[in-house]
Amino acid sequence: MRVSALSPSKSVGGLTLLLLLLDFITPAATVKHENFKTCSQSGFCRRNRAFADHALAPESNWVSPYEIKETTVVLQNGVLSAEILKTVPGQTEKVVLPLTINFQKNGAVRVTIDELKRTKRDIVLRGDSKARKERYNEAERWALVPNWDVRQETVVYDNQKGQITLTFGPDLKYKAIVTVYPFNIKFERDGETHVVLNDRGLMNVEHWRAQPAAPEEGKEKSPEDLDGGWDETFGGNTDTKPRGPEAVGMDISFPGYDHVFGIPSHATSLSLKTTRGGEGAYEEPYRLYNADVFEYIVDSPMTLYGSIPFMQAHKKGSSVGVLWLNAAETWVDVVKEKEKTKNTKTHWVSESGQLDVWVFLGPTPQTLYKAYGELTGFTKMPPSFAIAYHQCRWNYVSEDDVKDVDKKFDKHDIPYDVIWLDIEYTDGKRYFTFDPLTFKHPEKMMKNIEKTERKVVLIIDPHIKNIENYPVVEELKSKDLAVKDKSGEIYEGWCWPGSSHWIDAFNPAAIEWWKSLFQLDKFKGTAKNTFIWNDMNEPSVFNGPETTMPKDNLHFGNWEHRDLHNLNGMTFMNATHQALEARDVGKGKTQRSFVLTRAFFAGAQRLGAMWTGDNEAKWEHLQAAFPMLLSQGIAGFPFSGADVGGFFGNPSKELLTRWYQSGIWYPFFRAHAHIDAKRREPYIAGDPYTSIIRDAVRLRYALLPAWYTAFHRASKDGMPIIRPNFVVHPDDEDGFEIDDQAYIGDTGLLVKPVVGEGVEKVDIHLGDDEIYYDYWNYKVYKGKGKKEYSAPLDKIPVLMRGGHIFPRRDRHRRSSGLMKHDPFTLVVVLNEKGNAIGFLYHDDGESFDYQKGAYINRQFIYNGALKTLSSRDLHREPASAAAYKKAAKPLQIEKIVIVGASKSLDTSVLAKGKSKAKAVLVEEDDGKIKEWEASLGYTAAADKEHADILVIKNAKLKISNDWTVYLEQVGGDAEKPKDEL
Amino acid sequence: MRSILLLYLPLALVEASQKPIGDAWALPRGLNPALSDKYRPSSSQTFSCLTQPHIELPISLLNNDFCDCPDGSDEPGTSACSHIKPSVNPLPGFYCPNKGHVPAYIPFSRINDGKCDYETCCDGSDEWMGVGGVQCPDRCQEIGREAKRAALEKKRLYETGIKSYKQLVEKAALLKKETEDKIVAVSGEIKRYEGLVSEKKAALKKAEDEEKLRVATAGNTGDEGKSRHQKLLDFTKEKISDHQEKLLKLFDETQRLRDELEKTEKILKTFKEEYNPNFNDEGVKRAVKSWEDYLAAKDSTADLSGDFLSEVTGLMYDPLHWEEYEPEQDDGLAQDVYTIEAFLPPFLRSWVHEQLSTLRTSLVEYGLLAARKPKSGSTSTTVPPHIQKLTDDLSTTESTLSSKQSELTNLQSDLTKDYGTNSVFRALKDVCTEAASGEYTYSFCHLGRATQKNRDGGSTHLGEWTGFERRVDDEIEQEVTVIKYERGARCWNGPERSAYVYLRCSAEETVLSVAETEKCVYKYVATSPAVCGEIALEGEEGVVMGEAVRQVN
Repeated sequence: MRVSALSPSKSVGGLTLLLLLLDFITPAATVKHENFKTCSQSGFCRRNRAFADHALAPESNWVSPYEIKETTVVLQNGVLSAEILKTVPGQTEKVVLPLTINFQKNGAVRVTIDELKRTKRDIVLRGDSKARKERYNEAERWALVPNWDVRQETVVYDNQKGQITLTFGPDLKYKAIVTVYPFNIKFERDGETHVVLNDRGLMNVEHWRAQPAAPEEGKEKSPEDLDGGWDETFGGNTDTKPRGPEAVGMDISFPGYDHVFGIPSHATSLSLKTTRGGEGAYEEPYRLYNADVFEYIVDSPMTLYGSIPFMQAHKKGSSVGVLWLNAAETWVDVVKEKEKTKNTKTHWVSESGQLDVWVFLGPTPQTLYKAYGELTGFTKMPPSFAIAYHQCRWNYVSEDDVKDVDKKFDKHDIPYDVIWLDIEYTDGKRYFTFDPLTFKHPEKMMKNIEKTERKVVLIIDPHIKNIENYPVVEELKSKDLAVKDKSGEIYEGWCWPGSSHWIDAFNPAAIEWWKSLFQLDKFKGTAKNTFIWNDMNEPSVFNGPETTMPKDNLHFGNWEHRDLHNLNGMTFMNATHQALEARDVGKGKTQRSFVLTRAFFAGAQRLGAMWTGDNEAKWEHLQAAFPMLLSQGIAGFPFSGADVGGFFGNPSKELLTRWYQSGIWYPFFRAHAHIDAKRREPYIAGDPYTSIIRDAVRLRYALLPAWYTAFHRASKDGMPIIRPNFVVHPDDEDGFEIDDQAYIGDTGLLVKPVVGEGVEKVDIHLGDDEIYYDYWNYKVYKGKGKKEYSAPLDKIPVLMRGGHIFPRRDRHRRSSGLMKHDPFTLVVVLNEKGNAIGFLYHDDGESFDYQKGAYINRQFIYNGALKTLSSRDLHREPASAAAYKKAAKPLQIEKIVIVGASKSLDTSVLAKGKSKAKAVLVEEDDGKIKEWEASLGYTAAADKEHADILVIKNAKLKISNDWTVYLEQVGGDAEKPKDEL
Repeated sequence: MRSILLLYLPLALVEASQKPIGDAWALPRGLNPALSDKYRPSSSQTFSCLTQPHIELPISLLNNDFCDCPDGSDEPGTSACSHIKPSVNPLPGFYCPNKGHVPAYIPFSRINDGKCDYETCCDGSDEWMGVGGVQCPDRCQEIGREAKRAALEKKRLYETGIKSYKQLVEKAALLKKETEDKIVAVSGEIKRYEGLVSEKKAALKKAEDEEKLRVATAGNTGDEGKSRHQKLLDFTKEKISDHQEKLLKLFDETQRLRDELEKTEKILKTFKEEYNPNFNDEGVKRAVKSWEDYLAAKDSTADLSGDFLSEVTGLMYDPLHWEEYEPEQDDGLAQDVYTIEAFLPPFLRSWVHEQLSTLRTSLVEYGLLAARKPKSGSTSTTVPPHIQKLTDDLSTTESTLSSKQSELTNLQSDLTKDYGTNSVFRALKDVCTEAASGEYTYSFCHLGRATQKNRDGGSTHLGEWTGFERRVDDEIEQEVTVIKYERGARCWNGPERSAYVYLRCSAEETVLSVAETEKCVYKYVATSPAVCGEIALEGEEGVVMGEAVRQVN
């Protein structure tokens, strides 16, 4: 008996060991690769790569078969239109492709190429397809802001020898040089070419053609019969392709550029790798096809949950970008020429739709992001709780469970703002219901959570359970708001609930219906502190091709799913976002929404936050997160996070701790765990881990005003919230590839999380010669390049760059909501010249009043020569802020910490400890000038390697007012303190 | 400075009742009066940070809502030092006097955050600043009254619980005594039966020897040219080789089935490893679950051990060395046939015994072996009645002895088993308690098993009783006795289930709550008088006092 019990376990042990070994050899060999297409399995990708190979072969004298018909060229109101003619071998009739080039006031240019026959619906669909005949032309309706089209009317036109030159842009510094034959466009700025479309002649618009009959025996197949152009089968699903082959492809070159960034989401480095040979090249192109990739692998160009087809090319002195505005399946090849000149050449291919490319000529990362944001929108100001800490798990299983977790956070004194409920809260996966046994009194639960100003986020997915007596599915069907299959019947597939239908959020009526479902009196059990998580919106369909919908499914307007797949998730998020904003939360009031999405496209930053999906509790996933989130910032969607702790599996205590220390720097900071994973709320690990995690979370909370200010900046001009080295130091060529450290907004805080097991020190790269100070002990780091920084488990690597001022709220509370009455601390980090500058944005954090001026926006300037710190109003219309300023009067600055005080002040007297010097504070309050004094605390530098610190104590300055702090007394003789206040 | 004093003047008035009589100085807000001396201003109107007395600060900085002391001790009454770690700050929190109830400390992070924390601070003193317009009127009267009522009720329950506990202990002692008495009685019986067995063995031996002698004297008739013994030997050889052959076949068949099973299990194993749990296919999930259940059940069933199999293989191939068994006398062989078992390892004995019994039966059927003893010289195969009687008698006595012995073993192990302090759980053996929670009903039986029952009557085994341990019940923040149930049914995609029953003292056996704290780990909170003894040790007053102390801490 004893022996018998041993023998089976022995074999299991052996197998486990083997699996572990395999695991070790091929890290995370868990993704089901066979579920997802490679380029060669995707007909149009295969064709276009072959097309490129053919065109680029040394022996081929390839000439791109596209030519502008010069007689059709018209420039009107900032838009050039013309016809491009495509020569098809063996055919006399040329294919007509209407071209428009739209010049925007901010310098952005849009190049759109359509197909005349398709615009006229002059084609015959295969089968009895009900699909639309045009090429998809509605991506802009979702991706771009409503009033995006602000044209530059003053474009200068010149046509010489088959070369049309268009001069445009700010101060007419940009040129678009259009070559008539073979068609291509070079974009110049200041006389230098930065972007070239169809540089290598890889443009390929697959025109409509009837499917040629099968060739007779022994005869060659027609050249119009494209490989993989018709019915295509993958994983048992057949795509009927009613319009046959219709891909659009284009090559885009960045002459002189060695680095390209963007096109998230991929688990890869920030600087994109080459995909067609070269050192460390990927074999596959970067793929953009939103998909539920189960247990994804890191360091791969494989597609993930969301797509933003925006790419930035950067070199010393210049940043430019392109947006490939196409929502169909897309692949991007990257090639780098390193010989004489450094050039990056890219090749973009989408399965269907218009060829629609936006070109942005920078010239700086800042101007580039601004122009891109003016087009696709800026990050929306989130409600303030949304940037605090989120506690999630699949699943908190009952109200008691929620209560218990809530209580334990308080007991262990760890702040948190939001507790999340995954799918198990529902009654049998019916969204808009609560499990009647485990969540009997949801409204009570919401109220209990509200006591500490906390929130509850509920998951609501786009699949609606197909079951009797479920009003939501009944309405979905009776109102005809679901996605259809190729024959026009309501599509049925499988997801969490089993058999399901999908809401078609492209349909305006569906959005209206969706909005009605979230009203508090409709969605029983929810309250004003309930917010929503949209998962599985790629959409994930368990039994569909590549775990998503068949491409020949039909959406509103009879557009094929193929055309708009990558937009699908965003339209669903949009419906939820609108629904939350439309909720009457009492007395007709509305509030800001918070929606987390897994799938996204360009423009989703206007609607909420994203996270990087189902990662794993492994060190390499912790490592992968930072580059992924930096990439999100580049692509205009900075409100992003990765599951802290790793979704699948069980992190070691060290990994969990390091993940928290890293996660506090994610713009969206949420811990999450799979249902099979062990509980890992921060209080479970025990000390020292729990204490270290508590300290990390508290640091996030203390810095919330700085984060909120960074969000505000992103919402105004698209600057990433966490910024990679190249954005902050655009001329630091050594630092272009750095993607494991980041700057937090404009704070000058430079963070480099520890992401390796057993690692106790990191090398932090300084991108300039400015002085940097250790956040914790004010140790000085100086000189461009790598600096070693000791980081035992309880230390988070953070440096403060000289020249910045950032706000904090040091008082510890249970949630961010409970910090709202607390005073602020200003940290003034002096640079070599003794100067510093910084910002504070503040509003009520929940309403839309900020849009009407109810906010405080201050600039703080420390003038080293004058020895003053002053607060300046940056409000655009100060008058509109009057009421809010009044309400914000109790908000004070209690403490000012000046790091490196001796850079500006003669601190020798202070150092002797005898000085009775005080700071003189002058504030303008309601038109009256007040003056008082505050005492000082001074800590001399421990040694030459550390900075000295001067603290202005109990300052009582109002954040809403103009004020100046005078420190000129410090160096002089101590005066007798004044007594008037 | 003066203005600050002025600002604090009204507060001083409010707290006038707390200040020591005849002392002009008022107790600082949020300070435990026991610490008041530490803050008494010096003649130069200063005070010192508690853990860094060299830092002397003007008294105006005490509770001025700005954190001056590195240890945070200058702000007992505000949240200004809430960022100072508890390990650094010598003050445990803001002291709520809670007049009419029990004084308590509340963390500094909850002072003036705009929320009344009546759970700790029933007097509302934590929100003295009224930030955001919050008002927290003193509710200590009602809360104190309610708390007293609850404490009394608790005390009453404890008292009843302690009574029940005492009864349980008595009952347990009685049961234990019974067991001990039984052990004495059974031991005596065993001695007696051992005597009887040896007496009977001797009597049988004597009778047999006499009988042998009688037969031998009668002479061996011998027949058909081959001795009867030789015939028996030949037959036995033939039969054994036949058995070996069949055993071989059976073994091969078993092996084949085992291989098939292994193959099938491998398929299922791969299936389980490779299926996508994200694809929530109910069918697949069910299949995986059944597979898990099958595996769990399989673990607990006996399997043929490797040693056993090699023994059997030995039996199949190792030919007996018959020459060793060539007897001088017939009885020898027969004897050996019977006693061969004796040479086998104990775990094989019963199996071989069975095989041999079959052989013996067939031998008897073929008339080649007597039921117990070959009887020569006569055609009759019956044992002489007197020997038969003696044999039967002996075997009855032996079996009685063995049952007495196992009874003793059971009784002795019961006596050494851990039944908790004072063996109190002995009195609760097999008492079961259950409660509904969510879609299930959960039950546990003392010293038995814990079970999760479905609405539809199905049930899942959560574990067998494995003992007790002490753990902290974090709801009441006390170390309590926990009953462990382990090695339950294996979970889908998870470990074997286990349940831990956290016991609190009360008069009744009840289940208060059940939660799955980890995947497949269940936490029961239950009450039982069996743990009232732990409280009783502290003294009955200690119960209420303990509560109060906890609230302060």
